[in-house]
Amino acid sequence: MKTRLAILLWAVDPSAPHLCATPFFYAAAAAAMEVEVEVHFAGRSVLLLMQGAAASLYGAGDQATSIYDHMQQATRFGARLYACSDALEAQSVDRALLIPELTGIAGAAAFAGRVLDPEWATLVF
Amino acid sequence: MSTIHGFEFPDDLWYLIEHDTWIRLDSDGNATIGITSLGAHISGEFIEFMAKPVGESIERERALGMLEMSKVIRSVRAPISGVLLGINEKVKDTAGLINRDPYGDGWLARLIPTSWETDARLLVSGAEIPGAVEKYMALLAEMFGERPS
Repeated sequence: MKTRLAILLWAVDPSAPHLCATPFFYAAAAAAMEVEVEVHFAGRSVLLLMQGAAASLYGAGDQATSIYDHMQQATRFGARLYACSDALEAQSVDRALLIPELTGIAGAAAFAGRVLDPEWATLVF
Repeated sequence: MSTIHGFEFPDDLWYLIEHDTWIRLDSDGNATIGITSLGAHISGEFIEFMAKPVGESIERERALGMLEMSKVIRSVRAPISGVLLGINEKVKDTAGLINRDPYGDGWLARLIPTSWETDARLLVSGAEIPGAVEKYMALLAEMFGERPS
C-alpha cells in the first residue's frame, strides 16, 4: 500500500462550495491512517486559504460543518497544506492574511515531482 | 460487566480508554480489537472501516485504520503493538455493526501481539475500569460541555 498522497486542488473554487469539502475529507481519511498527505492549492483554490473564506462556506446539505472545519480536520490528522505562489499572485492574495494551517509555498514543480515519484499517489480535484 | 452511565465495559477485556478501544487476548495467543460502546456512541453511526494491510506491523497507539462517519473521520489506534493478522470482513461490509454490537460481531481487527507483557501494563482492566472511564467522561464533558449519555 502506498503511504504518501498528494492532492492537487485546481478546479475547487469558493464560488462552488458544494465541491470544496470532498478533497479535505479524502485528505483526512488518508491522514487518519497515518498516510503522509499534502494538499496543493492552485488556481482559484488559493482563495480558500484566506482567513475567514472557508469558514463561511458550507458543502451541499450541510450547514453544520464549514469547509474550514473540513480543512482543520485534515490538518489535525497531519495533512500539510501548500499554496502555489503564482496562484496567490494571480488572485491578488495578501500572504499576511492566509490561514495559520498553511504549511508553506509549493508550485507546479513540487506537485509534478509527486506525480512522477512512485512512492506517492496523487489525486486532482 | 461494568456499566458506567449506561455504557457497558466487559470485565474480561483490556482498554485503551482515551482512544475508545478494547482488546481481548484470545486462547490462540492473538488479540482481538474493537471500539468501546462509549466510543461508538460518541462517534455516531459508522459508515466505513478501512484498515492497514494485513501483515503490517503496528506500534502501540499508532493508527491501524480509520473509521468514517457522516462528515467526520476518526483514526483507530492500536492498544498494543503487533502484526495485523486479519480484519473483520463483516464490519468492512456493514460498519454499522460496530455501533450495534461493539464487543461482538462489531470487532475490528486481530493482531499478533509483539510485546504483550509490556503493553498490557499500560492498559486498563478489571477494577480499574470504572475510575478510568469516569475520568475520561469528565474530560469529554470538559471538552464538549456535556457528559455523553
